[in-house]
Amino acid sequence: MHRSDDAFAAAQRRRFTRENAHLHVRHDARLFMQPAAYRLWKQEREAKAAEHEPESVGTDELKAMLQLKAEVAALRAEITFRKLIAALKAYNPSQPRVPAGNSDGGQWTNDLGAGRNDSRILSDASPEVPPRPGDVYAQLRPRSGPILINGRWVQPTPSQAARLAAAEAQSRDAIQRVRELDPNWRPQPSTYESVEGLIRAHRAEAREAEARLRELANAGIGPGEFAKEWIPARGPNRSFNKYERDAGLRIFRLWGCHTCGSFQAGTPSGFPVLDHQYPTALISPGTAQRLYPQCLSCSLRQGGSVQQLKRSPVICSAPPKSRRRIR
Amino acid sequence: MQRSTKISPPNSIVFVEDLKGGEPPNPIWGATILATPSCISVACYPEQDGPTEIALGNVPDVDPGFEPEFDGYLETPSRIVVVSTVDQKVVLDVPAPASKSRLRIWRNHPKWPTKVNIGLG
Repeated sequence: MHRSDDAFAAAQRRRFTRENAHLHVRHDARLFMQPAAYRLWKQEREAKAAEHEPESVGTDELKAMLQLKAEVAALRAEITFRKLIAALKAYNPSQPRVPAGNSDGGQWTNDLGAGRNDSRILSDASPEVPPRPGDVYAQLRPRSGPILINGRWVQPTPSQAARLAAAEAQSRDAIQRVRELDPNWRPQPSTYESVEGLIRAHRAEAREAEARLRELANAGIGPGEFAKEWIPARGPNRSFNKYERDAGLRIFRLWGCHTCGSFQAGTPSGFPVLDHQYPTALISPGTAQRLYPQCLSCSLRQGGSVQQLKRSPVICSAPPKSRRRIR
Repeated sequence: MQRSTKISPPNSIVFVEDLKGGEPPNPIWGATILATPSCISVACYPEQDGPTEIALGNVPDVDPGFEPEFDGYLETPSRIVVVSTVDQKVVLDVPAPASKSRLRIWRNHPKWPTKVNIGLG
């Protein structure tokens, strides 16, 4: 299509004489221009760009501006830090709360009489019912207040409070398990002068109770160290059916006596003694029991230990090591 | 006077002591007769294999004619000797002649006795 008419030429003229005419020039326009014309066009374009360029900023001014920005950022950081400090001071984990049951229960309060010193929130454990393993009481929560040690109040750190609560729970659980079998048993009393000492004392009591449990198990009170498999007891009676006798024999042949590990039953029939655990004489009626196979010698020894335990807290020593695990 | 019974005691063991009880002996692994001044433990026939016949009385009544396995003295302040089990059930009792009685025990087998004779005096 030939565009030689005057209207087209006039339109192109208007187009390229506008203020922003340079925007309508294609980027590779120089390829279509004569070199002399291109140089002239380039000079004009650079001259026009220089007219619109802002004044350059000096180095000193730039430094001053950057310093100002840094000061503003520092001020903002300080304000944030002060706000954080104020918030931390406002929060006190030891601050008492209104006990549950009140209209504003759980709210912070300054009234000590209704808060930490309120007997209703010291513990939810009943003094009549002994604690059982796995129970969680209010007392087991980490202490947040001071502890009375040797007549003086000591404030434990949060870490110490947590460790103390754990050690107390561990000790109480172990002692309770021992007392179920040996009600007269008491751990050795210990002295301490610090929170760390109190934690160590609780841990020592737990270790002592565990040692006592092992001692009892060695005497046949409780499943022994070789107890791997068991069958449920139908009750405390000692009339066993064929299934129980066969199952006991199978377990005995597999694992040996649950107390000493011996594979010699020591009976004329070769059947092991089916031992009720925990011993019937030491538990309250109705308690579920398990049957573990036991050799005759350990059964006899267990009988003596149970009798002793019922009458005096002294108990026998462990079975001789040389007799253990006899095949 | 002689009294006897046939039982399968728990743990295959019985205790000979005063009616008011005594201090049980420290159990020793493998021992069948153990004693303290106030209590004697006697191993019986294995409980799951059968009963044990226990006889308690004066020596002339219960002496089987061989050497006793135990010969010693037992404190009997209440002057009644009892045979009890681990669960503290009294299975036999006879009067004792004094507050400290000579006591002899015979068993017909060192390990698996089916008969246990306990003689006083």
